[in-house]
Amino acid sequence: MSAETEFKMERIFKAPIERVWRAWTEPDLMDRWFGPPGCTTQMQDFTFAPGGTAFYQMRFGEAPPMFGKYIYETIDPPNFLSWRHGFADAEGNLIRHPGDPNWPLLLRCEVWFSAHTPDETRMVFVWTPVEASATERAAFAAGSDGAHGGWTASFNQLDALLEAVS
Amino acid sequence: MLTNPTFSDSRDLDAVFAALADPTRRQILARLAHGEASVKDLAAPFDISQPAISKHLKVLENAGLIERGIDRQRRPASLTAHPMRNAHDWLDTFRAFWATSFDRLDAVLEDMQEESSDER
Repeated sequence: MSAETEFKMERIFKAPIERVWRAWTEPDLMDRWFGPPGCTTQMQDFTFAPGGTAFYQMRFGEAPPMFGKYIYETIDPPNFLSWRHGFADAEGNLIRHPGDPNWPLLLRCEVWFSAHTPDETRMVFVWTPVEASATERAAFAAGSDGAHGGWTASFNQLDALLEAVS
Repeated sequence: MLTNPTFSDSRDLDAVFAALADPTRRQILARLAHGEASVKDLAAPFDISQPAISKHLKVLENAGLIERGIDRQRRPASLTAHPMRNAHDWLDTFRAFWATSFDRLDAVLEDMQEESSDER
């Protein structure tokens, strides 16, 4: 894990690592927790393999459903999982944000699990934007540092900056 | 994946994230957090030329992260907080999505333990 990737969450779950892994990788279990309270998530198409996809529907009350998709990259049970994550249409095609066609980002998610104690699991979750839009590419070109196109923003620094300018 | 997004400036957000992706530019912003500075001031800590610094400033300016003074000689740069606030809000929304999911996961893991006494 690069020290430069700064979208990061860490958490200790009160369950052994095998159980946490199951909750992250079995569709029936994922349905029960993925999404904010009040939403109903349903994995509709699920192929748990590198290159496979998890296509899900998410409903909030009477509002039209939203669709999303995981495209799995690396699966190393029970320690590591990575996927690309984006919005989808009802047929499962990747789309831009349904509420905002300018939404820029497809996200790469990586999650690490390790045994914190025999009964507790430590999770580290990191996400990084992976698909630059034309705007972003143009911005990089303007800066003449296109070779440095990787996502390396430090958002700890960003937090500090925001405090400084508040 | 996110819910009810109401970001009016997501195009700008693109440029903000691109601008922040470079360590030199982040250091420039960190310097400007302490007050306005000229290109010469900003170039001093770096082993790069003033024209290179000027290019970085252009990226930051296009993203709306800084403003340049009208003094033609110095054109001092200063920080503008609003676009970074938007980027920060976006990150908060994504983080909140997962944080609330993980709260639910806690409950699911507890349920799983009760459901599967045959787990071990």
